[in-house]
Amino acid sequence: MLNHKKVLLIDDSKFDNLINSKLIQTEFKNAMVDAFDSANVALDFLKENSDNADNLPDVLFVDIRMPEMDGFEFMEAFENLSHVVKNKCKVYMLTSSLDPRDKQRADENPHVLKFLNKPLSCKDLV
Amino acid sequence: MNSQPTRLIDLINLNQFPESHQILIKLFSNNFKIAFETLWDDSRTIVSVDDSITELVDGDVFVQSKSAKAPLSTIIHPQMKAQVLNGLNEAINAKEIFFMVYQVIGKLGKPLWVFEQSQAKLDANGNVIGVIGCLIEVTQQKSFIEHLLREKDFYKETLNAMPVELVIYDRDHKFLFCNESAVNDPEIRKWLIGKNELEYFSLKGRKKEVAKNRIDYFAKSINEKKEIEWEETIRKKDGSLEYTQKRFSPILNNNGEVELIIGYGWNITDRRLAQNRLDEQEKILQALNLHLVAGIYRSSEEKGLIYVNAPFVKMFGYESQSELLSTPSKDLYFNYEERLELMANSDSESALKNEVLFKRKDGSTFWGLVSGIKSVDSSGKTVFNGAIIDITRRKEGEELLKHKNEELKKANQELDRFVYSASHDLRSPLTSMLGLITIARAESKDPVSLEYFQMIEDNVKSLDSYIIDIISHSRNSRMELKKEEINFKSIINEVAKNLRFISGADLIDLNVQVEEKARVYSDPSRLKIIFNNLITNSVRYHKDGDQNKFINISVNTIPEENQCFIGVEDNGKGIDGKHLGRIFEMFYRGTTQSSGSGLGLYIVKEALDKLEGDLSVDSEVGRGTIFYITIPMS
Repeated sequence: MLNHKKVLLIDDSKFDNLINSKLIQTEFKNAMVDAFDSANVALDFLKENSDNADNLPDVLFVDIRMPEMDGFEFMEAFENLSHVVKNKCKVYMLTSSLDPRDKQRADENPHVLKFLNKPLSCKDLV
Repeated sequence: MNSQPTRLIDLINLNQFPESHQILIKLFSNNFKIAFETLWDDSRTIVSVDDSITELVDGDVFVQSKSAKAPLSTIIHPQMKAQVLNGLNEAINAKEIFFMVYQVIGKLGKPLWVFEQSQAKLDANGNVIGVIGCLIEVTQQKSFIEHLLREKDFYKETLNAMPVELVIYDRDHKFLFCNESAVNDPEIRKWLIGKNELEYFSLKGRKKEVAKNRIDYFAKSINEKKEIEWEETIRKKDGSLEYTQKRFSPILNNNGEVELIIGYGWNITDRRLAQNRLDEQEKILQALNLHLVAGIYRSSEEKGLIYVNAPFVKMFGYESQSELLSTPSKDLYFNYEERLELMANSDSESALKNEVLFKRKDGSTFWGLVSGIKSVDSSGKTVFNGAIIDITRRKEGEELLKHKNEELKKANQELDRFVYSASHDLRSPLTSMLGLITIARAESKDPVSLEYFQMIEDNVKSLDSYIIDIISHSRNSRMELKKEEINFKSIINEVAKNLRFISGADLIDLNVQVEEKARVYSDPSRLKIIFNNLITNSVRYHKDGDQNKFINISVNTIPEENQCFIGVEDNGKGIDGKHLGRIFEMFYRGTTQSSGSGLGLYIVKEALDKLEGDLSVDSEVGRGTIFYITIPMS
């Protein structure tokens, strides 16, 4: 499913980014995985490439609890990005939070495809 | 007596009214008597007679016949003669005294009524040798005798049955008659005739003071020829008091003298006791009015306050009732609109209760709970009666409670956030480890390492589910119930979906049977916790290597009893009987095989308590386990 896709991980834990990119690449050999440990930096990247569809990722995995800008604040900013970005990037929220309010917020957001609990299981993506 | 219509009647054979003799003898004891002696023959030949008989009948009739021993029967009205003689003969034969009232031909042929009382004159051997007796002229009393005797029903039954005590006394205060209400015992009633009040009281063993009172009132009634009324109190044998309203009514004869006294008595014990109770209540009310902390008032729309009690005055900080009553109503309210509102909302059916902010004389305010009811006073005007209680302290308490409640809610929310935040931070490294294990496993071929990875994974998962359990428990104990219509299939499917990665889950058949008509309103998040824990257990403790493993879930309802029954059954390892009684305890773990936290079934029980449900368990080692759950349908 993620084969030949550009995947972008946004998580403040570098460790998690490493594990998740490994997990994805184990399952989907041809996936291209990038990672940011700051939502702000990720947002800047998306803005810079907002008209350059080729550089944009196909799938975003966004953590919720992050310093400076959390996952939901990122999604608010995402809302204001170009149509090109919003059309191309499919967003998954990926978190170890069990708070049903987090799940509810994610489910209510039209740009979020799915709310996933860590650890990332590739079965969730099938 | 003269008001009674005089009827022309036949003679009266008083022997038919034996109980009346004493009364009549008494009655006529002051009348003029004519004594006589006759032979016992058909014509009643006179042996001797008082000369005064000429006062009664024409001398001519007798003068001639006196020497010739003219018979007494000559003067008897011809139509009555036979009856008089028959009556006399019967009485003599029966050795009774002969009493009769009959008509004689008086002077100038004028008919007169006489009362004869006579008896046999006996010789030494007891043989009848004549008749002796007396005649009394009773023409004037005839109608009374009629009344007294002929109207036997009235005399005996009506008077007796009257609910009032009725006693007839002669002038000497001796009983002539008394009815059943006055004296219940028929023997005493009979005995009483001719006795006086003191004799009666000593028979009854009552105190003489009461009898002396009666004697005084009796004398007064005779002397003043007036009705006398008084109230009499008698202590009965059982110690209770009996109150009677008494009245002596004198009956005058034609000469204006008192002939009889009729004594009436009404038992007013009930009325008196009710009055006593009322007096007592009045006293209580007065005491309450003085010492009660409630301000009591009566007011009208136009006049404002009409009455207030002492506590009312104190409550509003005034010096006196009059000072407060002269104060305009608007000065008593913090917001005068409230008075108009109070009056508009009052009705006469039920008391209105309102919390109103009042103003004291010094301008300070207090909260009063007003309960008032609309009614109509004796002049027909609308008034409001009510009471005010100072509830300022209660109000303050309420405010404090509200404030504390808000704080608690806030603290609860903060705690909730803390629980999730902490659990998130606890879980993060675990999830990272799980991810890492997955990667490591994929990159290793060494069977020993793979086994170690598996052991690490099992332990991390166990720790993770422990955290999830603690969150479930924390949520269940703090979150309010949110009820909605339950879709059992979707809840169970969602739970099952989350459990599908547990090892062995794919080898177990999950059968869910939900009764079509079941409409159950409950809290879905708690039901989810319950199903999650029960199904997890069933999956976790299935029998390794067994075929046909199943979990059967059934949902049925009995709407009449508002009950929903849920059964969760598996054919897993089962629970040993010695553990069954304790499996719902917190942190109880049956065997070392139990990989859980010891919280799962405790949480199920707690969640069911919140839902006002119940559960029980049936299990057999090697056969399986079934949980029976009951929850209300709404």
